[in-house]
Amino acid sequence: MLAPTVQDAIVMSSITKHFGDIVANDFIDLTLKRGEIHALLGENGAGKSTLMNILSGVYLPDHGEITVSGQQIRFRSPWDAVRRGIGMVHQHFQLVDAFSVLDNILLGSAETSLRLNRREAVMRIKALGQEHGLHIDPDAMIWQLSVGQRQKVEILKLLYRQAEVLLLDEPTSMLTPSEADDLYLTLRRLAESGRSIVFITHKLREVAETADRVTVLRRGRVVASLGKAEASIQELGALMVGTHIHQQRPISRRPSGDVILKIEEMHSPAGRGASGLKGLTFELKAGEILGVAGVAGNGQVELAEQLAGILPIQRGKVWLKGTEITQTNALQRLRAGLRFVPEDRLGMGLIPQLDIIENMMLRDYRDQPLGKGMWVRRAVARKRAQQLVHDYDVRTPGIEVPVSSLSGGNQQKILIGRELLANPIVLIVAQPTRGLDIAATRAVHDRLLNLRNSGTGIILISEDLDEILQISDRIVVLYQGAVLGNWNRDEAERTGIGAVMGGHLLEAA
Amino acid sequence: MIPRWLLLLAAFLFSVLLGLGASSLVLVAVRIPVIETFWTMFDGAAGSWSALESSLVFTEPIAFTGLAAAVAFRARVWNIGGEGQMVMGAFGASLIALQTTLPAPLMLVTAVGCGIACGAIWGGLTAALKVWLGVNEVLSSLMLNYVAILWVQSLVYGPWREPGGGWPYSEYFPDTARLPSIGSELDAFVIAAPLLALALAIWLRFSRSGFEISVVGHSHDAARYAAISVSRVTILVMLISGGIAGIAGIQQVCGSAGRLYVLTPGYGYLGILVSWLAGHNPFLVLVMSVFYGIIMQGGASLQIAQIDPSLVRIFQAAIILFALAGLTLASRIQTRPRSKVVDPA
Repeated sequence: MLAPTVQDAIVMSSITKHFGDIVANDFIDLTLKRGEIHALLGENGAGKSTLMNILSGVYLPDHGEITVSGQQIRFRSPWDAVRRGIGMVHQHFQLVDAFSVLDNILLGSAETSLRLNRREAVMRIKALGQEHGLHIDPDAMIWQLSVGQRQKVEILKLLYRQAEVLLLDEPTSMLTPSEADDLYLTLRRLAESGRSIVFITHKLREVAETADRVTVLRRGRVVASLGKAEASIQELGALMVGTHIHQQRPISRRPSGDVILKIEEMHSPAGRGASGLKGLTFELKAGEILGVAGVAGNGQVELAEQLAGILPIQRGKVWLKGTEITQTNALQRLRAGLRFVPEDRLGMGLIPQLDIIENMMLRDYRDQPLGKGMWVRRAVARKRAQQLVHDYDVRTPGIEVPVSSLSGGNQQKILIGRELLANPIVLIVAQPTRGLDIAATRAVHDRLLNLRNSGTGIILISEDLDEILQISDRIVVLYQGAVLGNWNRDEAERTGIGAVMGGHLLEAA
Repeated sequence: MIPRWLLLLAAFLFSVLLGLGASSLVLVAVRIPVIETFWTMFDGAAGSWSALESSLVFTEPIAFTGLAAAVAFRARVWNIGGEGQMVMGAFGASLIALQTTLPAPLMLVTAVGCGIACGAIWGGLTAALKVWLGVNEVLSSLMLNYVAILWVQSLVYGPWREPGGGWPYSEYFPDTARLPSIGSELDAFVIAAPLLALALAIWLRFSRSGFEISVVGHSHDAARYAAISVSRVTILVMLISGGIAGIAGIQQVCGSAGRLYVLTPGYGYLGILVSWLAGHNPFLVLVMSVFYGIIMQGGASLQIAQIDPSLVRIFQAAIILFALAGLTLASRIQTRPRSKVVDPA
């Protein structure tokens, strides 16, 4: 093979793709050079994923051309793209948990013979791992691996299929900061070996740290394509959202109130991919946002659901306003003013097939004014739905449409709006802005801050450290089911918390 | 945008036409005149009041088993034991009618009540197995069908057989245990069916339990989040579903038959079909059971006209298959273009 030269690996020109009335990609041009790490930056709905799905053969473009190594081509399926050396690592990994690494790599690989030659495959995988610093035991089972390791398997899978162009969809969204650093190193090595890499992201920091070139998309169009160091983080952010954004939100300092929620030695068994809880203890004060940071699977779901009463508390005690509520059920707790916005918005928090009116009733249909005797009062629910759509500026053609037809941001407004209507004493919110764009995120944060200012204690569980840093009064890290570290707002800083999230112990203070 | 009901109605009518079209191919293949056959079918099932009355005889039990299935299916509890619950309903009514001597109004009321209770218990058995032992309701309700049928068979072939009678029938019920008749072939329950459908529609839409059923039917996680007990709802719908299926059995023994016998098999299963055709909507269940009654009576009149019964079955199956497929496809069309309203906010 010739030494890698600066040569265009892929040229996409005038790519256009419509979904119904929505233009996802509007005459997009993108040039990818060999040995380049190219970041595709944009908000949710900017058209990044659509563009990558076109490049990996999942979608056919309505219009436009793709040229691979100077040759114009037309992908009819992902297989065509794979044969051309283009592979994609999806945000949600496409791995079979019960299979070994080897089997996952062989699964669907384009072997010509019917017989699998496992021994040869193992040798190749090991050689590839050696070459690119992806050290994974081919015989390990996927379920035994961490998220970071699984991602390496996905990358190995592509390399095994001789991919020259690797597309990664939000590759760091599930990683710890140290795992992310590891990934950046891997990507750099791959680029140095002559491969081209595109990664989709909406994190500005990643772009600044890793990419050789960044293309910024907004509303389906390319708004800029810049080389490294041609733009600052602030400038990139401005390009991405279209207006200048503030890095940090100034929030008023308030004298903290009384302790309203106290958790002592909470335990729950570990599940697959989740650590369970191992003696969790903390306090929450009135009028405070307590940010619970941590990488997924360190006990977040257990904490939230046990507090809300959805999972029984196995061991440990909880007090709400001085009253022990350990033995109470979900209904008693929500009636007591302990409200919950679950992270699984459409699976638990809302019923996507039902309309806004019915979703307004979901948690409070038993009590006045929504319930009366054995009946529910739909008229009241209808009024509430109208009010909420108005107050939160929910974009919807009506209140009698299924919630599934709304965008993620509008769904979240309905979910949070409904829980806030009950005037909570304590609110638990899990991943409140996941998948939301900047405007919707801001709207959600405004609501949470207003609620805090009115004296509600809020537990904000989020995997997005920036979100936690922006609006929390106090921050703890959940690691392996226990609280590690405790920072006040003014002493919190990103790298220190990031290290703790990855399991690095705090220095003795 | 076309209203949903109009789309579904159009799809339904179009599919029935397609079904008839497919059936006519079969007729052409065996050289039977197409138009005349269809006319015979229509004339026999809906051409006159008496024909329509005969169709409603088939409709009556299907309406009840259909409503029974709809209640359970709305909670996504797959009760396919309507047949057994219906048979137990017939048994319960017969137990009172044959074994007690109550005065006039009390007799019928008690017989009906006992029938409903037996159906409900039979349904409740399935719920109990599911909630406490984790047994899949499809299997248990299906198996309990056989138990119920064999139980009634053993009664009418054994202890309850009419003394001196040659057939597996019980003695006739006393007149006090008979449903008032309407017309020549129908009974009072033909009016009870729409009333029950109305009551169910109101209950499902405006009651707390109805809302709980809807939540459980869509998402168990959301139900846990709303502090709704899935087990409690499962038991509730199985009791109600069983009770309503029981009415179908009561209607058959206390109606024109007036005695316990081995019920014509199939009405319980037809209820499942009708409920699906109706999208588990109580009013549409009525419409679809009338439709099904007409198809069955149409088939019967074809047999009278000396057309091969197996052809008749092909007819019925083709029409139902097309209707089911058409409705399914049409309801999908409606849900797909949802991106229209999406505003990225």
